[in-house]
This record gives sequence, C-alpha cells and structure tokens, in this order.
Amino acid sequence: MGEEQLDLSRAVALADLAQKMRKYFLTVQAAYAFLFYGSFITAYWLAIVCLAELLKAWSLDFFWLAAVLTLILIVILVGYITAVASPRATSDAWRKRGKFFGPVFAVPFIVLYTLPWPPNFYIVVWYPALAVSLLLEHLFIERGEYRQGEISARPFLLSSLIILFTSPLVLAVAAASLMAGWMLALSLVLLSYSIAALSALCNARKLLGN
Amino acid sequence: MEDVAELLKSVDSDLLNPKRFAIVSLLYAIGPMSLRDLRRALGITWGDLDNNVRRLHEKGYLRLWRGLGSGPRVLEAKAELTEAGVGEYEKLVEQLGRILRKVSGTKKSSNSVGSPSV
Repeated sequence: MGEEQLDLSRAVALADLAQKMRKYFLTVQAAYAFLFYGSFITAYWLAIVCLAELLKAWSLDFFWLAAVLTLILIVILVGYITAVASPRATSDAWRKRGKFFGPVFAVPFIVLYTLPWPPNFYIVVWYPALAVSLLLEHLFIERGEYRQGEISARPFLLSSLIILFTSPLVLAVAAASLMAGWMLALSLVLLSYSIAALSALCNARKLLGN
Repeated sequence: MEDVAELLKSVDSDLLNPKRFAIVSLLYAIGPMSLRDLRRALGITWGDLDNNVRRLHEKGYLRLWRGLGSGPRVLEAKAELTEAGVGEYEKLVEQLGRILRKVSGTKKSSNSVGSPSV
C-alpha cells in the first residue's frame, strides 16, 4: 500500500497560511514586548525616584549612574526570562543576534553618561540614550527581520524616532525643572511604546486579511 | 514534466506526506506545541502522530522534550521545529509553489482539470 499523496494546491494554500500566521505571531509578540518593557521600565524609574526622595539622593551622580547600570542588568535578565517563558516561533534574526541585544542596548547609555552634561540633565540623559539604543537594535536585528519578511512592523524604529524627535523638548524642560523634565521623559517613553505597539498590532491584523 | 521532477528531487520526500506536512506547517506557524494539542488540532490518532513525529525527529526536523503542561498531566511531551526543520520546510514550500505555477501553466495550455498531487 502506497503512502498518501499531498494535494499540491491545498499544500501551497496551507503553507501560505502558515507563513502569514508565523509572521502574525512574531509581529504581535514584538508589540506586546514593547508594552511590557514600557510598563516595566516606567515602574522601575518610579521606584528609583521614590528611593531618591527617601535618601535625598537627587544631586548624587553616583546614585543615578548606579540606577542606570542596574536597569541595564535587570533588562537583560528580564529579556532572558521572557524569552524562556514565551517560546513562540523565533525569527531567524533573533536566533542569530539576540544574544547581542543587551550589549548593543547598553552602549549608548554608557557613552552618553560619560559626557559632561549640566547637572540637571543627568536625570533625563537616559531619554536620548534610549532613542539611540532602540535605533541600534532596529539596525542590528529588526531591519533584517523586516526585510526578510519575518515581521510586518518596526516598533523599535518607530519608538526610537518618536523619542529622538522629542528629546530636545525633554532636555529643555529638564533645564527649567528637574522633576518636570523627568516626568515628561517617562510619560513620552510610555506614549512612544504604546504607539509602536499599536502600530505593530494594526500591521499584524492586516496579515490575516482584516 | 522534467522540470517538475527536478524540482521534486531537491526536496525531502518525507515532508511530502500529508500528515507530516500538516504537522510541520502547524509547528512552523504556531511554534512549540504539546503533542496532545498537535493531535487534537490535526484530528489524527496517537499512533499516527507518534509514527510521523518519530520520523521527523529522526530526520532532525523536530526537537522533542517534556515540559510543563496545561492539561491534566504536570509534564507533557512537546515538539518544536529545529532550525533544519524550518529551513527544509521553507525550501519545500518554495519548490511546491514553483511546481504549482508550472503545472497551472501547463493546465491552461492543455485545458485539463483536477488538482495535481505529489
């Protein structure tokens, strides 16, 4: 008795659907990751500011530098935990380059925080540093994913452009008021991540013909 | 017809089995799945699933392990496509698309009916 035969046109239709679904899940995964990291980073900085207030550490450069370095380590750890916790289909680009995500993300923060800024600015320098980090991640990983058709949105690029474009405003507000500048930066990060996530979800929906 | 035969030669014939093709397509689309969910989604028997999953595992296209389950058992058998499996599936899909285009072109010129099988 011979093996069953594969109906060619049905197989091609099934494969086409499988490819669309894979791209859909990867894009939705990217959107939710943005929402998660945005919320997580906001929660972290709110806790740090609370600590700064309790310890009266507002003008301590060492305190803010330690906070930034700790955040970088925590983001790397959280990135690893979320990857293990949600083992959906992984894109080729993430499989090959995902282990460099942390170092690539950290470099702009290290570079910008070593520059001699006016005192008030240290509390918001992470904001333009974040824009550069997100842009680097786009160039290093996301652009390859998008060009190969593995995802249908570019949340890293969109959020980096929003943050980059609004950085002068944040720095100007920080020059006038430390707290106002910091709160504006945090608010705009959440906004940019939400916009990037929503855009990714809308693009993902289009894949399935909606 | 010679072109179609050449295209077919370059793909792994094990993936041309409809059940194995369906298993690989589902894992490609969704990602790692428990064997329980795979069987339920495909509507096949445990014996059928076991035979086909074993064949794919032997070829190096599937990774099998026991992980935390969402069903009645604490640990359940899970499967995911390996990098080789993803690569072979994408190659197969590309070749099948080319074959369908060739066959459709031939059908239009000879006015024959019916869906081709491989």
